[in-house]
Amino acid sequence: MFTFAILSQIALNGITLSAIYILVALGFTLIFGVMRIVNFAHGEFAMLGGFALSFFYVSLGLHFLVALPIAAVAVGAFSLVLERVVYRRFYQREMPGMIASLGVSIALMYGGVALWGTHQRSIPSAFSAVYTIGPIFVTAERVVVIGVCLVSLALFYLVLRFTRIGLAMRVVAEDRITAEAQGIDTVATYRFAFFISTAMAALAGGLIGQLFSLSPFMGLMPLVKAFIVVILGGLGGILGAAIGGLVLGLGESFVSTFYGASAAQFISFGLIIAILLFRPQGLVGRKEG
Amino acid sequence: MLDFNGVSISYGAVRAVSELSFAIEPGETVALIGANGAGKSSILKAIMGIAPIRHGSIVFENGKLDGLRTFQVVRRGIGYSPEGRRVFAATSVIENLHAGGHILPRPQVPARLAQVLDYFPRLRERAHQASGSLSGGEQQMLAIGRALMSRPRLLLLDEPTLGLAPVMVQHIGEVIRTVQAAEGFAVLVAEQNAVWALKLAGRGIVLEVGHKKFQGRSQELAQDPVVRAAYLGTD
Repeated sequence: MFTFAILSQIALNGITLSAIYILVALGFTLIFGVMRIVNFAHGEFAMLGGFALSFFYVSLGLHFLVALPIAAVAVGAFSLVLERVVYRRFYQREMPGMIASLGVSIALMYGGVALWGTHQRSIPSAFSAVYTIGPIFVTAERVVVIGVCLVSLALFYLVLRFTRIGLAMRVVAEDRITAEAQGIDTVATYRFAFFISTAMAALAGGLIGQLFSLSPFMGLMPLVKAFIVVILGGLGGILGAAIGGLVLGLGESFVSTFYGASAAQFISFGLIIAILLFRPQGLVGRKEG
Repeated sequence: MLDFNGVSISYGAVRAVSELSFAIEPGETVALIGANGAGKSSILKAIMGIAPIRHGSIVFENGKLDGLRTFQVVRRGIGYSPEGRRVFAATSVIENLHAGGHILPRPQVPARLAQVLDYFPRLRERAHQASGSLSGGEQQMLAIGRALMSRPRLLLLDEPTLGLAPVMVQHIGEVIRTVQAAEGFAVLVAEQNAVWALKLAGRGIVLEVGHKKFQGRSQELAQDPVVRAAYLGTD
């Protein structure tokens, strides 16, 4: 049963899941780190990304790799309206912010139902090629998913680490008032962080739509995964999100192959409860001061 | 260059500063001295747009500051080194300075960074360390260096000697004087260490619970028997 071929196939599936989870979790943790908002609507921005991709790719007939970034930017732009109208009033206020974002989540979900109905739809496969590397099969679709995630994670890292706006986001996350006293427009910085976060969620949503299916309720899964990744890896860091995402994706892939999908869900949540009990700062996180 | 006209500052029902007026001329150094709670910090925060003012107005180089957001005050040409230094602990020394240079055009940043590191050679040795790992004195240098990055024409220093060893206190004073002589900015320093502040400043304003108690040239204040007894801890 544990042949090399099977194990590598499972690992490959797991890495595909991990890549998507990391993408979702990074945006989630960025909004929390910079403006202290636990964004319950994060999954709905992924859902919108899926439908936006469907629109640009299926309805308008754009190339998949063109439609995907356009969909992400479109959702990011739309999210700025909600930032202006709702989120901005709740920055740095964790509890009210949570409730407000829960409201946004439900409103978007049922807005989706009103627009698109409740039936699941799928995005036709953009890449049908299958490669064989030794004993394992690699679909081009998975290569694209992993590639898109790697490129966006690299971009995210480079922006955060080496650009002026990236430094602004980091220092605003550390100390908003002192950041503003350096001449940094914190409101503009918030807006940028919000855009990046929802656009990354939308990108992940598009990939989920491609691999699985689309429905207005599809946002719950990415949100829950983001929570788990963040609890595994600790809030805030890229490294934490990467480790958390890999542990979750690989773990789910192995367990669901051998024991079924419900066992995988059971174990990932069981693991979360265990971590919250025994290591609340996450596997790599430090305690919050 | 800075006019503080009948300014009152309150936090809720607590009035920190009452109808205070004073002015600062270009290039001069003014010390705000007084006990804890006298309103020194509130005055600097009001200039920065961090503490809201209730009455009066603050004018800098013919433009009103009140009503501006903090980052806009910085863009007008004011640098601020906050009480407790508040360096960005998780970011490196260099990145703290880069943050201070946020409003500079990008091409000017490297030259200004080199200049500030020349003023504080100790920071150059620590350039890539996390700022939280610096000693108190080094963090104070970083906070001042960070405020200098934007080439301010008025530098606000809030309690720059708090908790520092005497040698470091003296060193900080020397650096401020040297840099000020080179760049010609004005300084407004809020300080509990009145002896040190009056040595640094040409003029002093003594505050007591939000009111101006005395003001005058530093030497006169330093020799005034009442000021000496109450604030200089001598006689």
